[in-house]
Amino acid sequence: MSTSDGAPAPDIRNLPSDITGATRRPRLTLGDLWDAGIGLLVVYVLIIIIFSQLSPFFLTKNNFLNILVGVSILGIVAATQTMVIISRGFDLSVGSTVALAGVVTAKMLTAGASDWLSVAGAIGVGLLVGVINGLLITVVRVNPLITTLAMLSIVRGIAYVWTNALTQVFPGPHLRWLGTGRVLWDIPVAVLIMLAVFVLVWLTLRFTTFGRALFAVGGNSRAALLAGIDVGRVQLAAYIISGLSAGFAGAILAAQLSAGSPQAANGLELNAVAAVVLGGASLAGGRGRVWGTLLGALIMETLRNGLVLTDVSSFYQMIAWGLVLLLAVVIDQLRRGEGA
Amino acid sequence: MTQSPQHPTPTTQHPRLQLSGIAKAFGGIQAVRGVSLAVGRGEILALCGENGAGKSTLAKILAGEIVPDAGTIALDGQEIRLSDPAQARQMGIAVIYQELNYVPTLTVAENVLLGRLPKRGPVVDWEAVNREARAILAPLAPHLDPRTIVASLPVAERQIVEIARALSLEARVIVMDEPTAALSEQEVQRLFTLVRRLAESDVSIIYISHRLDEVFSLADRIAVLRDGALVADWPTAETTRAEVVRAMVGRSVDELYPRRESTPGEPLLEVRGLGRGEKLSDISFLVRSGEIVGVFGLLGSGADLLVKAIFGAERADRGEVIVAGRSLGLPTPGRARRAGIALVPGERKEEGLVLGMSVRENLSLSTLGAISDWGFIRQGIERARAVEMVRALQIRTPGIEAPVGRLSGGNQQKVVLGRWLEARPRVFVLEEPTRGIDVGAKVEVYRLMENLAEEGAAILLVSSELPEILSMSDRILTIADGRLTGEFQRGAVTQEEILDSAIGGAKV
Amino acid sequence: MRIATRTRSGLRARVGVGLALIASLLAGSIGVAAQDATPMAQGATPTSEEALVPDACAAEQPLAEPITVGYAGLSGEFPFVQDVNGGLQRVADCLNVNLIITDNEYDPQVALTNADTLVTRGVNVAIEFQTDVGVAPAICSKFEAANIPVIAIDIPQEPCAIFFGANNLEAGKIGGRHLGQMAQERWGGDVDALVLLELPQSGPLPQQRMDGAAEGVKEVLPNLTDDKIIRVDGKGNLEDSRTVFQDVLTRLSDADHILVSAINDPSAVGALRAAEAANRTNDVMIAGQNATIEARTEICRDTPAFIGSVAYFPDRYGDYLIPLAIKLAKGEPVPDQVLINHLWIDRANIEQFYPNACA
Repeated sequence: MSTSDGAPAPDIRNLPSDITGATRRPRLTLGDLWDAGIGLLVVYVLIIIIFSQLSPFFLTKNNFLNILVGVSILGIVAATQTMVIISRGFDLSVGSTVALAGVVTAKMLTAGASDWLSVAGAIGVGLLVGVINGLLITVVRVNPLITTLAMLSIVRGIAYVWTNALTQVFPGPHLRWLGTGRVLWDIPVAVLIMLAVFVLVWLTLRFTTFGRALFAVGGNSRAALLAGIDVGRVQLAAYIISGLSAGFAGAILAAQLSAGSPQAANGLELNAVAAVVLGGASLAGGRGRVWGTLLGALIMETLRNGLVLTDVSSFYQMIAWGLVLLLAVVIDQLRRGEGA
Repeated sequence: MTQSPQHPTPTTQHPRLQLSGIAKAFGGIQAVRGVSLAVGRGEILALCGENGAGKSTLAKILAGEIVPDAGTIALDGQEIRLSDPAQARQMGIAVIYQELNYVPTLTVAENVLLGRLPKRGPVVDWEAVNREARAILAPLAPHLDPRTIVASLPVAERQIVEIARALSLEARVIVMDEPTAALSEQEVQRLFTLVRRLAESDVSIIYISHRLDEVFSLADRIAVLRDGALVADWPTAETTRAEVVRAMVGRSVDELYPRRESTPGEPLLEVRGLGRGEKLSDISFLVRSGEIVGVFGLLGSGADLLVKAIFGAERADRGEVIVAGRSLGLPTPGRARRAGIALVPGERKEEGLVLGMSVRENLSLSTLGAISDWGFIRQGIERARAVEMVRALQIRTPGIEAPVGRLSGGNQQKVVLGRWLEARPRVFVLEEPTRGIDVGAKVEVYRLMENLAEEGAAILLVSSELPEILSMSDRILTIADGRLTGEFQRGAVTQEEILDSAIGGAKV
Repeated sequence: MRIATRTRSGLRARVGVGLALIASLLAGSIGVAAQDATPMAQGATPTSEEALVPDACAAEQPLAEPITVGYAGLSGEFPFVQDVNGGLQRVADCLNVNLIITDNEYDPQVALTNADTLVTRGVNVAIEFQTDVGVAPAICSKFEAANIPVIAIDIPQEPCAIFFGANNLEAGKIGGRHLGQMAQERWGGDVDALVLLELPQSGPLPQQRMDGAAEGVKEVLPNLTDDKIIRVDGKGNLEDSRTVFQDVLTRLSDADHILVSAINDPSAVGALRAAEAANRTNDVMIAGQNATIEARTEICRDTPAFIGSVAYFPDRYGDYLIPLAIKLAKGEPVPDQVLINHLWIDRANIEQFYPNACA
């Protein structure tokens, strides 16, 4: 009960009862900037400054396009993972789904299917995985962590069994446009697709009833249910969207590699969750920002790229990556400590 | 419940506890302004005030959790400094907060005796632990098994554990901050008996409460805080409810409960043979347009389950719910909402609000479909509606974008109500709509119910506050052991009759 | 980790480090190939490349009296192991050898049980393909007690077994030499950088491939200095190698003569994809290891940047192993270790060794 008399919470009764001020859009304050993940931005700018001092190749257009291409697969699945995590879920099956979808793409192309049909096939696999995840979690009510962990294993297993663990190479010209194609200002198609996914997720979270429902379900699923929101359907939709995006990402990865590998995207799910959390989402649900996720993914990829450019051993790269993750989370924690 | 206190008013010549000029500010907000107050030996002092009046801050100062900016505290004539909670406990001041401090994974006995478990040598003597705990619990909750894990108990019983722990500390002064908020009537009576006995054995009690009925039946003296300052201090016998309420809200509230002529119309909500396992059997009743039907049940009676089952939030396994002649079968929350049922759940924070969201977002949660095009929320309409609702219900908030968690209990409750008003439902199911909110807000909620009924809504009111049920309902249903045990007309029944009927089939 | 050992292989696959790493190592060797070992054909200039690849069925006579060879394979879930198994069966059939195949399931405990099984069934010779050197002594004592000679594939089983396996250093050198020769041919020996796509997690032994590659290039191009050698972690798979090589290309923005030697073929193909995406296929020449399907596809496609790969022929392991086992059974003298011959595969000879590869 919130009868915390005189606790440091603002004494609302003494505030002007005129609330017309609230009809205006809230002004952007410094606190909002923090909330928008400025701490993360500071970390990112620092990383960029440091690497640009260390390597003459770092601050080039080509290198930034490289970073964007490098982040595209992670970005696509992390964007939709943001939705799942906001709804207080988890989707650990995305890495395996990417792999299986890639294998499907390669198999279909080899069997003579058209580019479009193969991409559709990959997306179909993602859809299927998403539906199974969603139904197990919402109807059978299995814990999402366990469900998607099991699916991680099953889907990856299917990819291995089906391919006998062999990479499926398909003839080069197929899907070149998707894998290495470039459009306007030389921007790779994969990067444009990733940005489009982020914009779509942002629009959904910010402006749609479904987005609002995701926050409500994640923030307090009981209250959402008692407000008449169909909690199960909202969660189901989140897993389906996550599956769809993983399927699509699988097709793009296959296009980039001209091959579908059952070993592909190993550990992608953890990087996706890390990017989402780095971006400011709460694993307890109800909180998250998709642009923060993009920033989180970019930090991960930029760090990797910069360390390669500066010739740092990959073992040190692992340490550096862990440190940055901690740093970002600590900054976020400090900010929250102040703002509370 | 209007019986006069049995305990004679002791003299306050040698006060047990004397506060002088206590003041405390948080940032720019003056929470307590120069409060001077004395409590005598064995005296029960009720401390009343609206939310934000400074009662809890005062309690925390006595607990040693907050150090005041100014003023002195004297215990038995000796000035003391309370700089931390352990010190306060040592001095014999125990504070029971409404926000409970138990360890959920331990047993009842362990919680009661936490930090001083009886030992035989280095080994905890479990037999003694359970025996001692049982002895402490006996007067309060004889049915409670000391070996039960606290987490498995209902909230009310956890509170009893908390109270038992404080009582067992052999304190000279016990401060109770809203101890009955989650208790049933029966448990409240047991607690009162205990408090009176403590007072007789010379313990001084400071009893902080919203509930004027309790205050008048228990306290020797009533002090009222408003905006952090002490505005009134009477012996109970020399004041009236109206006077206390006026002091609390700073304006005259003629009557807590509005008077109303009801003219029931066509049936809006009909429940037929609703049941679930052993917990709910064959519940059938009817609520008409313009009618307020009260449901009263003790803890564990199934009243809470009934509410949730009507809305579909808990699954019933038989029966049906009919709204305005159309059967929903066994409803789901979505279907219930679309059919025009509104549910204001009892646990505001756990069930009513998404605390991380703003006032605006909480207000629109049940009407997202109506204010959106193609799934896109029409932001302008959403904001306008929120502003309108905040104004209509006089929700005190810094703005519609304020996080709802920062509002006081009463205003939070108005947000939950407001959410449903936007949906324009015809049937309101209200579960404990005034629990833990201050008198002013209570009155506003009652007025609102009144208006809704006048406009033709059917209202089902589930409450554990008997006066509320008696005053607000046109008809009263009692429920015990998952069955309806009685139906009474307004005015033709007393509290005792209703309580009897509610205890009737109840498991004790 | 205290995890029921039977589930370990499944768990590794799930945890992620696992399968990609294991598979990339397997396609070649996990184990030790002693540097001072004498590979069968080293030094000798073969008259024909075919001679390097043994064909036991053609070279040996079937036994009059069959012997029984027990084989405990690493794990059926790897294609490499499937190839080894198939080859063993083929040679055993044509030489009148009974072959008992068991699967160690990538699990030391299963390996122990399998050793018991093989002893019980009275095999004349045992072949162990088993990853945990820690349990090797225990396995050895079982076979020694039953007086059964043992051959170890790729991972030494001390103290009892004869070692058979890949020659990482030599395989690396073969690839390096070909890179050097192609650089001589196409670029007049002018090389800006040699990029080694490594897999440091695999430990020092497969790493010998990379050292060998550098040595091989230097044999042909002695002027290549160490500062031109760039070592990066390609994680042994397509996608990571692609990403990391993309960064390397950025680092080498001004270079147009770049040699690449990869720890395995997926990694090599990953580098190729990065060069293709950057439109710099003319600036690089790539050599793989293992000549697995990924590399064979690129070789068939005759991609100029992908010059070839070094073959390990796991399906030919049987051609070494079964004759070796027969010698042991007969009590004939055998060397302490036998290393396989590696062969350079490129567009010119691929159809000779992989008849349907480019069909």
